[in-house]
Amino acid sequence: MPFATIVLDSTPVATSTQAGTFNFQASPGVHTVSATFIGYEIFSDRFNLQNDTTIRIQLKSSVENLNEFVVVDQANFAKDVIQDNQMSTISLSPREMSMLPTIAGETDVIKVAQLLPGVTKGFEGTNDYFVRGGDADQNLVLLDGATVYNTGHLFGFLSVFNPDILGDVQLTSGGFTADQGGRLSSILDIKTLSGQADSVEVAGSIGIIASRIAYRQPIKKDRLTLSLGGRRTYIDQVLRTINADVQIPYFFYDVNGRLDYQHNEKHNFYFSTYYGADVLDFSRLDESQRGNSDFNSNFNLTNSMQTVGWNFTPNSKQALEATLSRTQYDYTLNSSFEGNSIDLFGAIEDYALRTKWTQFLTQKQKLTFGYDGILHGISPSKFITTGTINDFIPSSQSRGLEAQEHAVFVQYDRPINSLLQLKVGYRQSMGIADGRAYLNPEPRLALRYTLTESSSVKFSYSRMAQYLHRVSSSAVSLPTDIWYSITRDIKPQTADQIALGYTRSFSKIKSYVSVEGYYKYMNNLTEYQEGTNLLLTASFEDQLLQGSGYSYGTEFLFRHESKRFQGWASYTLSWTNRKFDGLNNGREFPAKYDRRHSVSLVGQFDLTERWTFSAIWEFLSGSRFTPIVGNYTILNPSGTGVELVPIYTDRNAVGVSNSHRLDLGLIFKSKPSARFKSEWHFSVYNVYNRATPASIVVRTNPETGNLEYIQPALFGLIPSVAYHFRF
Amino acid sequence: MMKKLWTYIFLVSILASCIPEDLPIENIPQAESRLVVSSAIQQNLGVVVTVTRSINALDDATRLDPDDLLAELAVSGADVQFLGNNQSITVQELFPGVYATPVSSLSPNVEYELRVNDAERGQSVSASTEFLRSVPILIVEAVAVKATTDSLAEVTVVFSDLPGEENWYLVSVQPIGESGPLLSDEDVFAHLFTDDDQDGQQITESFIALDFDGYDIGDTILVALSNISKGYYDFLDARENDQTGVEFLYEPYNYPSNVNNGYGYFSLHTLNSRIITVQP
Repeated sequence: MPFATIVLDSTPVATSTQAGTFNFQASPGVHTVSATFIGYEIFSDRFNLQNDTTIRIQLKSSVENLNEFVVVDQANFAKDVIQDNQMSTISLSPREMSMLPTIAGETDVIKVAQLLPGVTKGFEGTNDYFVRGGDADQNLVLLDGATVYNTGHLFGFLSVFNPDILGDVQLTSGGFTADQGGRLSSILDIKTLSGQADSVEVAGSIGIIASRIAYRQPIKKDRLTLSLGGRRTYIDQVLRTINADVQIPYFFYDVNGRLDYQHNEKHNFYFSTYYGADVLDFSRLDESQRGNSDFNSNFNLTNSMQTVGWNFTPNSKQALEATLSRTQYDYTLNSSFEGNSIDLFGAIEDYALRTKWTQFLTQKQKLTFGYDGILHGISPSKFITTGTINDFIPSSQSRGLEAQEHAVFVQYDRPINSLLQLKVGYRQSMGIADGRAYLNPEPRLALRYTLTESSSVKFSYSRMAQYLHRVSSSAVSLPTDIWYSITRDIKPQTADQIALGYTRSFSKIKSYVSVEGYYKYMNNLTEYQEGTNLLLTASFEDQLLQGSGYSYGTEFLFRHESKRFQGWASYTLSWTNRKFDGLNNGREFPAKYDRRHSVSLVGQFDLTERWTFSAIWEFLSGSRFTPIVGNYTILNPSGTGVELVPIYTDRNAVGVSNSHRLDLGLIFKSKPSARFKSEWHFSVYNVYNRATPASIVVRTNPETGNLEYIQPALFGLIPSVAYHFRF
Repeated sequence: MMKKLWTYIFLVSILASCIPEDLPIENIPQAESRLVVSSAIQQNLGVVVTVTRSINALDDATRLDPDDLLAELAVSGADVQFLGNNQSITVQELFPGVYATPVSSLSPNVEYELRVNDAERGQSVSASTEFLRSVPILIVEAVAVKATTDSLAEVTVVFSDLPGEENWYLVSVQPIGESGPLLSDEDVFAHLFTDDDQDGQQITESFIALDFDGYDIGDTILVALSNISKGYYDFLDARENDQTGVEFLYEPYNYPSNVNNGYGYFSLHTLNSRIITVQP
């Protein structure tokens, strides 16, 4: 289990690695060693440590074992939050995520992350999220260390992550450590289930949109474990079964695989792989459904990641984590009609090496250093037209590029005294592309000052650099968006962020409160010249602009975890603005998702040992929009008459209406003693069917005949039911 | 058949019952009404300047036909002047909102300032541009081209590029209905291009003219060639890229303007027009 906090005699001393290993130093003697993670029972025991010792800890889910474990102290996890130097980081357990009401019954790690403080969602239903005022492409998403470029199936409606194979998830939005880099705003580190299985484990779900299954089996006990997972939507098959005359030629699927090999106490290896695809293929329709039989269209989008990992712990003072990964993301669109065709293609392929060496200098001083390197192969994005259509929509193609990212880093952790903990780091990154190399220093600093046993103040500063950006001229991300690198003319994006936070735990009510304020300045952000339309062209480089932005805000988080009730309440107050010389006449303007207020109330309550009730209530200030506010007439280009020209506000000058939404969920579990465990999940998304608008349009009122502004919405009330099982 | 119908009804009912009502929104600050100018040089009329007023987005006038629209928004009785070449030229009102002066009163390649003063509304605007040399059409023809479901017109224009200067060109194509070209509700297609590396040479420019209804053999069309300024080129380019109606997919923006305190574009370009028939 990664990201678990290891506590030695009330002091956090380590965080478990991706392989679930950890190192710490202790003076000889009897010590209490604890391990904690959100959603799991705390492990705590006393050990007489005289020389190098291996301790194996297995955490159990606190929700599944209400009657079996004596809970040591649920609020210890709060203590870890207070004592830990790390700030602006939140961990989520898969169990915690699976208990929340969901859209269409599918647990979605991205949708849960959008409920966290400092995280703003984009267009409703999509997987875009914006962290502390950054853009959607400033979030690095990793799956077992491999970059994930496209996080959504069904145009972003569902994430690509099968919840049944997920291990733990950690979102870092500030206070970045020196080994973290590559994006400006956040790192969402997602791990699949790891470690050695004791026995065969099967888990799955049957829902209204998709079904999934996961399988784990020890191949050789305590040595080799195989994990597999698969998921497919079947709305196309269900409709075909009900009525062959009604067909939807779309489906998605994904498969995960993982091998964990524990060679001995010192060496641990794993191989993780993912392959997923979205397919929209009109040729799958029967003749009767296709109408004009000459029309054909086929859209394929694929994600593929593979990671080989090695964890080496030669002794209690040293540890090495190394991963070698490959990521491929590509899409193709082929449409043909009466001798004409439109073909669209884009792809990116990465090979990455990440290494991190941890050296304990003393019991409390730690040195971490390493190297990260990524090779990006960006294929030319192509828009090819043939036939008569080529005469008015010409073909176009962007340049293919090979780009490299390299970074070396070092970080030093030590206590200054009994109250003050210091973490200072330096990351030197470099991006190379298009015959040009860019160097960026990325210093890091974190301080934690313990006020009392239950409260602390934290400060962090980090500088981040980003050498890739996502090409999209639309307000929402599309499956055909392209990831592109720096060039001779396009510089790397950079961000400087400071954060100051206060955390206090309340052991009596098993909760903690966290308040964090931040300021972030971003430079060399990319945007497009006004009027850029990338829907019918692949040529975009000369349309790019660079500018700056800044954001600031305050985040409040109250988190509670007790036997029967877990949840959190978060509130974020924030501002984020942009300035580009070529946009909005050079004047500063609010970012698209400059949502002033964001409130999330999330909770799950065990009514009985078999019934659990969960709810999410969310309030969001409206996103920003540029509505039409007038018209004027000009001579047409022939000079024979007049035509209307729209007048818009300044860019993003108007906020759409605030939105709020209530989701409810009810879970009915099988008897705790049953070996075959099952759960029925009933949920309702948007219980009171309120619109979450994203745009402002003018339309004719059907009753009065007058023109009026309206804000159309996409999703209303969506009930769902799913059956989960595990044995 | 009934099974298919019931399936569709079931699906639509489920989806329709769950689509929330659109949210109203009020208090969106509307653009204040300002003077709007646009201009061109017509072979028969001379320099034509339209002076109108802008309206807010919810004004019913946006649903009017072009002739009614001009009448509704026309600014009458404004004082319209050209200043340049050490002279001041008063532009006379032909009919409401439309002002004109003979082109002979202007000198080529001279910068002129337009000043419009509307005493009734207490508003005035100004704009400057260069009077550009006219480029006559040598040859123009249009040929019907079979497209997917309709036929389009491939238009070819031949002309001599003005030597020694960088040029931006406009060719407009407009179908002519029974009522003639003036103030019709037909859409005008604009093709924009530059002289690139063909300075001073004879240029043959061919392109596909798009029209919502397509073009048939025998259709009558108006083709006009103009030598325009870079600024007006950018204005028309913004018109070409305008995607009003799908704002949630792209970022809206205001057309560029050279009019101070107002809207529109002041341009002194000559429309060299020909009326031709689409050939097979």
